[in-house]
Amino acid sequence: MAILPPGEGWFHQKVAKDEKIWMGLAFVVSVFLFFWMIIWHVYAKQNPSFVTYKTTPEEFYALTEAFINKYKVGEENGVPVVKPPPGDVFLLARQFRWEPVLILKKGEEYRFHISSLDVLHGFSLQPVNMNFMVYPKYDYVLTFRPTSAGEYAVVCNEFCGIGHHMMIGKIIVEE
Amino acid sequence: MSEEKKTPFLQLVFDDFILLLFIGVAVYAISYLIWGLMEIAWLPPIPDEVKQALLGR
Repeated sequence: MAILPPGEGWFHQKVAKDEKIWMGLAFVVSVFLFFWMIIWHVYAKQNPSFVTYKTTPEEFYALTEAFINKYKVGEENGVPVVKPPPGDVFLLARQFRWEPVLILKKGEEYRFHISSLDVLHGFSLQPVNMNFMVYPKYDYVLTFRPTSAGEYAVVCNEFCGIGHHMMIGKIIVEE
Repeated sequence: MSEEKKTPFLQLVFDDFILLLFIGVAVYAISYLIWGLMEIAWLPPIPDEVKQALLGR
């Protein structure tokens, strides 16, 4: 709202040239920013390129169990440790743990399938600080290529219940 | 009365700043809601080849 209301008959008055120029400039900036958003996504690698699939907790659990059984190499504090080849890997969030522990190879490309068995969880990869929400009934697929070797913690960053603070998973990247 | 009838519809809209505020919020709220619902409704299931590689069926 203007401080002073426009005079009578403003609706039929001709729009002034400078106002038209301002509107034109605003339009050009909006269109530029719209396409910049796409360029940013494709070339700047700022946003994760993800795919989402519909699933059920039962189906995702069965797939994760099959994945664990296929590539299991050990166990750590009761959590299975798997060493899968590059490609599809599964990570299941549940109250209050992540499973399995993943051993990945540096420089290889992995498609992370992440979903929850019960409530909303948060996938927070530390210390690189990448954060994604993990919903039940949806398989969130993220493509990762680990670029440095080491041990990474997967912290739940959505409050999921009384044991939320203990929900810490692990990803190991080998040379 | 006859003068009031001549007021164009768009002028009535532009003159009502509460209505403009409402439209400014409602248009995006509704369109983003519909967009979100469409996204959820059209999500594909996990591809069969991913399932077959693990479950063998």
